[in-house]
Amino acid sequence: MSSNAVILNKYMTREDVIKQLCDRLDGDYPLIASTGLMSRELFGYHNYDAHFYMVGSMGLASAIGLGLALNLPAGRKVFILDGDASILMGLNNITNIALHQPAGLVHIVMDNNAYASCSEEKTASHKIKIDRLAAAAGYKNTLCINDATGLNAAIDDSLASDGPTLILINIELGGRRDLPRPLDLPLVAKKFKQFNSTEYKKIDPK
Amino acid sequence: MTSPLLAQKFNTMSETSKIANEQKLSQLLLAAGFDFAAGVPCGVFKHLIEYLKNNLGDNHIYATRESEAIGLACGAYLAGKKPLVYMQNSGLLNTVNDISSLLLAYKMPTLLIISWRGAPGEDAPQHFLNGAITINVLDLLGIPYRLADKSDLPAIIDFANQEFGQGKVAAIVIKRGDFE
Repeated sequence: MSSNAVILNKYMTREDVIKQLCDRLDGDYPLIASTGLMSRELFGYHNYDAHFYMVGSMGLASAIGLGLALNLPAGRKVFILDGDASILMGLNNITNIALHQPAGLVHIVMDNNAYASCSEEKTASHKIKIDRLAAAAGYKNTLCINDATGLNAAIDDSLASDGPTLILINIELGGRRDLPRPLDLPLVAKKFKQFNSTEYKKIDPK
Repeated sequence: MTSPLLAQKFNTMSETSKIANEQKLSQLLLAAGFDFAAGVPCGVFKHLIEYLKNNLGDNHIYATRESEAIGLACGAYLAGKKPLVYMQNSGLLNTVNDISSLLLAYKMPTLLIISWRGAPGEDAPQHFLNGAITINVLDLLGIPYRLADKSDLPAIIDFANQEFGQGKVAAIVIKRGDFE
């Protein structure tokens, strides 16, 4: 980046990433969002049928994503939205993703190096790099990005190529906490299941 | 399907009976439409696992932990499958939150096949308390269950089918020796 530093070096916020991802996928691809503020931020921004807000069972978003990807028609894309704390809580799950190599699986991890939905207690992700863990496990593509341009390119690439892919995004800590929460969980599951049973509106560009 | 060889190796009538009953239960589960399985292995139903693995192919996954198996089953269900999860009762205790805050909270049905270690008469101390509270935990979660009865396997399948059809998480509980 350029040398007029400060502002340009700032990472995206959780809200920035979620809005950009949600706008780009536009409700056309299944998106499983992990526990806490990220699910609530997504729900508050746009409640598509293609969204599954996993508000409990922290650590399981990637397992749900794998179970879904393996059982949808080959090539269908499945997006998982994880955080650094939640992927570390279910780190064992990445071994089965790497073993079974679902081509449609795109695992996005927002890394703010904290249990941000609690009181921002620190995780180990500043020392243990999550994209390197995924690469070591055997994900087909792994990358680490820091800005909106990188995120756009990464999503486009993930739609056009076979995975499993892990996209690590460094984000700022903080953000809104007064977010709405999905209350009718059976309805979330019902709409999401229905969405997965129908033809996608858009054909994957590959 | 190395079952005859295993039978030879153990060379007992009870092992032969165990193989036959576990295979029968597996066949009935597949015939009832259960088409995805994930779990953490337990010797109490090793022949059932072997049968599911051989017959479900890519629709069977060995999970790293029981929680992962619950997540995999959930994903499979949301893709239109009829999933089951097998695990020891130690695993049931590992997954209490995942069952309650994921499967039950969203009303997503799954069949649980649970081995009951630490049932009366067992001597492994790590299973004592788990065994003593297993049925209570199912009751507390509101999960209907049936104890394995080799003399009436179709009744167990009817139960599993009926509960799944009503969107319920339900359990089949199998003790050591139940199928011998």
